Amino acid sequence: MFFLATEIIAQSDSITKKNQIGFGLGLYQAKIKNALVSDFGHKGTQIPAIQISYKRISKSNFHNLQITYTNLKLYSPYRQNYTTDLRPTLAYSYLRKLIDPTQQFSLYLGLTVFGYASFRDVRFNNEDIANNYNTEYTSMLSVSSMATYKIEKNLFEVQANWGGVSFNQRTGYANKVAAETKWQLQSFSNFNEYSLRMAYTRAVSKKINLRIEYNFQFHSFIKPEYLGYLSNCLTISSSFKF
Amino acid sequence: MKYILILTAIIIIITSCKKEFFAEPENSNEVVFEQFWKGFDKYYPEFQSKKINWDSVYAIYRPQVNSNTTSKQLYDVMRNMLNVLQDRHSAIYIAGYDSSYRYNRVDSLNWIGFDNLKNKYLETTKGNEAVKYAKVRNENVGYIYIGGFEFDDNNYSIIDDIVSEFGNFSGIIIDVRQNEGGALRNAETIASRFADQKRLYKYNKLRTNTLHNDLTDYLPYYIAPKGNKQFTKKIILITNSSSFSAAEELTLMFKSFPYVLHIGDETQGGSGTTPIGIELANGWAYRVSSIQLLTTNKQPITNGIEPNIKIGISQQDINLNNDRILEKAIELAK
Repeated sequence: MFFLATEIIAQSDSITKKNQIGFGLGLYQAKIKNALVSDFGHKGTQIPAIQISYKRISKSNFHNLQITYTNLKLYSPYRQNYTTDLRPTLAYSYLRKLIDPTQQFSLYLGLTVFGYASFRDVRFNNEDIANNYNTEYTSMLSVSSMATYKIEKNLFEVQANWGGVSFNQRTGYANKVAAETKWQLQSFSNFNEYSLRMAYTRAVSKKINLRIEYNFQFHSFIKPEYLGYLSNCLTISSSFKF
Repeated sequence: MKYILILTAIIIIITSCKKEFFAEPENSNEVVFEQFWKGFDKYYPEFQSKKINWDSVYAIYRPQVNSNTTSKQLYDVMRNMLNVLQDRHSAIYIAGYDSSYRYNRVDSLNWIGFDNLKNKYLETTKGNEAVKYAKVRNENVGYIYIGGFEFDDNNYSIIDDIVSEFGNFSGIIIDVRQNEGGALRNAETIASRFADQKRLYKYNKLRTNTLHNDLTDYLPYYIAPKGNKQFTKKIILITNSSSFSAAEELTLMFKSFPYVLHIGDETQGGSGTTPIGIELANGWAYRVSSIQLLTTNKQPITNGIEPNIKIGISQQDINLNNDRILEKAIELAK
């Protein structure tokens, strides 16, 4: 996925300092597997996706907020069957610097809150043969670690998140079939979440940064019906500082 | 940089182990049959009330499916299995929409067609694609025809205008013959303009576990007045055997009002609304009813909702455009 973003960085032309607000457009790829309606994974790609981000970096703390809007049409291997999925996603990470031995290489540890609303509709033979409209609200709390490497005007970031707890509510027919599944707190035993973020940023002037970023995310819920979601995102960003 | 590579490798290893996510079903006749049978086994709520042994159905039809079975033969097997259920909400859909099948309880339609009815019995007709209404000729009676609940929701808000316009009539006839259902909320929009108070009109039961008799308690549903004005004088509701799904929900709503008389033929019957659609390994899809719908007496509507006055139209009358059911309704609504 290529993601073209604009970032506004306040206060400093340093590549790693203070506030950054960004807006971008890009490409997004995902696969959803919803056992209630199919044993097949439905896959889709979107150009462009929309992303807004806010980042704050201080001497010992790292804050990163990303809001991504996608509206995918995910097809089964049989093209006449598909899922539409409108999905605003929010991810916020707070990480604290653990070691900074060289000022170039740093390690962080912290938490990430990941939340999304998914408004889905499944169609077979291009027809709404049975109303599979499904709404899902999910938030996940993950343990996060991040490594950064800074050299002159270049910054490399790698962040990994492991899901700990999740708050998952599915309404619609999934909910009706399984009856009392509202507001079910999922534990690690029936919930999985892993995500990875890799970014390379280069300061090209006092006002402009360039960045390439890759985001991978996978999560699944076992109950009441298996629901898995995998997404890939590769972005190229241009950032403006002020 | 070494740490970055290690971290990346760990993530890739962990995520590559998600077999349930990445494994796809084998496309074979046997797998398709098993998926179809298991879907009903898991979700269908009426095995017990209909006294259907689904394992016996498996024993009969599973041997008929093997690697040499043609698509047509497999489709026929599924049709036969659906006929055991006798449930119009359950269906099989063939890829590319070449064909589909769902059970239909075949009865006399008792229906002369709306245009014939309009020309013979009604004054100028108004309304939209979903709701049509008119004054009955030479009578102080209003007539409303609702052909379906699948149209845009805005169509049904016309009911407020109708209730105002018909407010001084002695009675209103509501006709849902040939209404195959649609959105339940649209049925509620209509019925709420005829409710005098909040009333229980149905119960639902849902499957909760793998056993066929694992159902929820009776879940009550109510209909309450909405809109600026409600009509609560004489109301005659007409149904026939094609009145189905949301039209049956509407029928139950109206039957909860003490001033409503239900005439015509039994409704289609079957299980409740909200079927689930499920994709099969060969790209076909099926839908399975998921909710048992019961009357306020806690009886499933399996064989349709019985009218208070059962009346039909002979073939001779249909040929002559004589709607004996509507004539009876007019007589009762005066």
